[in-house]
Amino acid sequence: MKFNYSKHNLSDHDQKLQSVFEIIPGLTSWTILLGMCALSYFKPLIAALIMIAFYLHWFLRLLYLNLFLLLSFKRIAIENTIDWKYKIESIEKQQPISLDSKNTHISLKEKICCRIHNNALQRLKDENNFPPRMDDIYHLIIYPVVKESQDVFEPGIRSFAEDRFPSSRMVMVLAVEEIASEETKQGVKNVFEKYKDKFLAFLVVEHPAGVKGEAKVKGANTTHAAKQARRYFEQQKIPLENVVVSCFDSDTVVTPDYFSCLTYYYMISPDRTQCSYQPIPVYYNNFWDTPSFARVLDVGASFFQLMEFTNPEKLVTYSSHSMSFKALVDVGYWPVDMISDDSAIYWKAFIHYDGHYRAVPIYTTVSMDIAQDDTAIKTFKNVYKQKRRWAWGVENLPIVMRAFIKSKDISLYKRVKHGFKLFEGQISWATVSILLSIIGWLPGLFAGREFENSVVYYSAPKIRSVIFTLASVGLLNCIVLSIALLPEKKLRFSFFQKVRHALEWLLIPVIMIFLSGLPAIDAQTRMMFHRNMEFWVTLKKHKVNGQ
Amino acid sequence: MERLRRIFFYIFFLAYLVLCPIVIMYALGYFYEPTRKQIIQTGVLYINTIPDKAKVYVNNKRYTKNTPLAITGLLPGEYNLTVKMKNHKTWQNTIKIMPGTATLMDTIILLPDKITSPVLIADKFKGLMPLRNTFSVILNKTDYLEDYYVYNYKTEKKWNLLDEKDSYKNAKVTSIFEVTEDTLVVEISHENSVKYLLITLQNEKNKCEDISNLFTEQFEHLVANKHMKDNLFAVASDHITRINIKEKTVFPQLLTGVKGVGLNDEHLFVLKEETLFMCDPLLADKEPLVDDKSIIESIFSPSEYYSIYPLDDDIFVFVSTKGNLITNYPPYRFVPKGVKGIELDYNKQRLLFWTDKDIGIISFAERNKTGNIFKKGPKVYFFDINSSKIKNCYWVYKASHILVHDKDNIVLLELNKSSEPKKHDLFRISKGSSIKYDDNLGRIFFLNASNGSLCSFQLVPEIKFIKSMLSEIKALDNTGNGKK
Repeated sequence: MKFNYSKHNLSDHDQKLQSVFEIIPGLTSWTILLGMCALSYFKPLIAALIMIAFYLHWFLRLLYLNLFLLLSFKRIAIENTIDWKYKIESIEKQQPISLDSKNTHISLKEKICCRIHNNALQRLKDENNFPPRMDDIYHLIIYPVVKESQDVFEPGIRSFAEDRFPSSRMVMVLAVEEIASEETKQGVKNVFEKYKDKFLAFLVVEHPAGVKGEAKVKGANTTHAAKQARRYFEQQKIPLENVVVSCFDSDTVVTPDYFSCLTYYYMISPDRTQCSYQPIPVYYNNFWDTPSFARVLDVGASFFQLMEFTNPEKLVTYSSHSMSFKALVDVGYWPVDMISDDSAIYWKAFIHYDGHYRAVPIYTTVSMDIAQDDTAIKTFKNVYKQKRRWAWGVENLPIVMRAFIKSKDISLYKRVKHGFKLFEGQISWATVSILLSIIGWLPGLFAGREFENSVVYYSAPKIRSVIFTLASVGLLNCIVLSIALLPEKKLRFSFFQKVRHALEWLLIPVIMIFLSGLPAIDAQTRMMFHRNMEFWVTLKKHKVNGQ
Repeated sequence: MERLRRIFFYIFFLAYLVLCPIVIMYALGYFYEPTRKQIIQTGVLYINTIPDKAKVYVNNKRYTKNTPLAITGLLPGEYNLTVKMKNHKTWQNTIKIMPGTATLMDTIILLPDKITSPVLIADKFKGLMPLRNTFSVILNKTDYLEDYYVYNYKTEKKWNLLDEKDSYKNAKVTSIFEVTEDTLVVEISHENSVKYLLITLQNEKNKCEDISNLFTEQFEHLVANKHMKDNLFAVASDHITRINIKEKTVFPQLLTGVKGVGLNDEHLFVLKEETLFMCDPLLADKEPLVDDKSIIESIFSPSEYYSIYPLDDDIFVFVSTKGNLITNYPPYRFVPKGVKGIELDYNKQRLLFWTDKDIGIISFAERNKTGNIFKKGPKVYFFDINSSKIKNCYWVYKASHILVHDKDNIVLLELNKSSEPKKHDLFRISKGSSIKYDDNLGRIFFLNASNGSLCSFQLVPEIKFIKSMLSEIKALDNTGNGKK
């Protein structure tokens, strides 16, 4: 479907629809919050009963998500038991992996991994859509740089160069903004000199400022770089179907197996040119250098992605991810006037391909920086702005809904399913933490004598207490997994640090209000009043020699 | 994984559909009673005591948690509730649990086995006069002005009402009238003439001024408060004279034909034969409240003078010199005669009144402000407590109890919603003296029956907002299950 994925240059009818859908999320969130406040005051009994139903829903959902968090966590371990290259060879040979030949003891994880791979291979055979050979697959890495210092973006480039996948089949593109500082540009030059021979090609593309029709967003920079890269591949006569583009943040560091893993998933997916490939984002680059509230929040973000992995039908790309370069070109690259380019590109492709587009979870991690600054207060402000920018993903909702209304080829079921998830996800993000932590107490606080005379006034706190106690099991699960997920080799940490990290999770109720719920409401309210948000580059700093 | 997720989704969804109504029903008090094999809606019993941490027994079954305590899951019916605490008298009552509601027994006062009253001033006093809205009382050893003292129980300081060097110190006090919190008009008999002194209470040295020249005639009633801009209204036979004590000006007979006077923070209320109106302190800006002479004549007696008490925006109480109590709600005339005093509770919903023998409560909570033309009036409850001569009554502890000064006995009446009030004798006081009760501090100040010394008794702890809120929260956490 041809669709202009933008909120600019719309017809009158589309503009009205856009305006309506921009208002709906904020209005819904505020209605829920203020409505519950008012209900707590005027009808505390009904408000208390609604909150009880909500607590139960929240608890069961938490349990449900924790179950899949656990499964996802296990899946990471399972998927990494067999070497990626070994699995790639199996695809090229079109032969399933057999573990019988091994004389050593075969673990359960290996058996499961083997089975998953063989099932996928069988699907590939059934669809008769075999991929190009590994030697014919190329990786395009686009690395946008705005004002980061060399010590922030160099580790990522080094990790690409040191990846187990041959860097001779990687094209590295450093996308630099024209307005970048001299220090940044010097850093780019230094890195270019150092790594230019490590890759098939190393391009430094400067994105001019003030291009008409573009906003000051990352998508404009990366789109400009992608267009330059396309020229390169066309000159080299490399088919775009054989290119996988990875758009990373400038602090992204990949594991040594990242590109092997990505290549595997690209090859094993029958619809590989209509897929995005989503790794697990983790934030270990400066893990112990940041205040606890920032740390816990970003671990929570990783967990959220892990939970989403278990529902690939509704998975949407987020942060650093990869996709078929052909698909990127077909859909017209990243939006140049939107802040949330990571999720926008997914929706753009989904609409373009009439719903025949998906995000494939790939069970490997990409590590990034936690936002931080010199002091805890500055870091707090930094993190707030970053979360607000993440929450600005709500800007996709009106555009997607307009597309869904117009689309005739995307099934109604898919449109309703995706539309509801997009809407519900934004509303939950903005309201749940505040409902749980503050509004739940209001009926008792506002209680007049008539409510004090009801049984509910006394039973509601008891029920809430039981549910929260049971929910702490979920919290415990998160604590254990967050410690287990810490990479042993990368981060050295003492028992004391583990205990400290476990205790930090107790801050969750407060953190979630101020650094999750409020930023989401902030973003939705801005959109509700049709105010734009400028792209704000998250400040990331690394400690050098402990400073 | 997708299939697994879908399966689990439906399982959890079904679990929610099943659990949600069950939890809601539980929240509303519905339990499955196995003996009767049916679902019954239970009730809650909430108990809070002063002092707290008392032991609770329901039908002789002891609960492990102490007060404040909420017991849920009680089947509807009657229960015997007993509360015990060391060194305190056992409290017992029968309570009724209704389905779906909470029975609140949140104002139980546990009286000590032995009442101890620390002596504040060991001197022998003859009389005590409470001063409203202050932390002070007037004490006197004799009827002469030189033997009158002011005692502030907050600062615990006592000083003479009149300076020792004052020329009126040998005068005999006839009556004392409170103008404002710190101003008194004292009527004295001095050298065969009646004098009026304006005494301003100040720490340890009061200011005294002779204002006798402002009183040109004997008055029957004096009406004033701090909002009246230094104006006193002296009511004599059927007219009002305005006296400005600051400017020392007198406006005699400003209004005539007056049958009753009252005031609140902003207005003066005047009852005349044909009208009831309100006006500002300067007796201007008159706004009629009742203009119909026939209504006035049908409700008020022509020969009596009425003190008017505007207790709230829409509640007016009139008490005549003969004790006829009237309100502006039907049936209007509540008590034909004998009412000695009234006291409105902190909620402004219940009016306490007393005669020599009886105590009554008029509950305005049930009145209809709007709606039917036939308005539902307030309810009246009378209590016969076998009293000798009731001198004064006070609301105690969120208007849950009444402190009664009955002749020389101090009695605490515990109000019950479902039964007659319980009477607890506290102690005796010096013959003919009064008491002061401060509900915020929960203390009674009185003169000891045997030696006339000033003593106090802490009836309930000082009411503090945060403390009471914390005890409420503690009780909600302190929830026991009473299901049998």
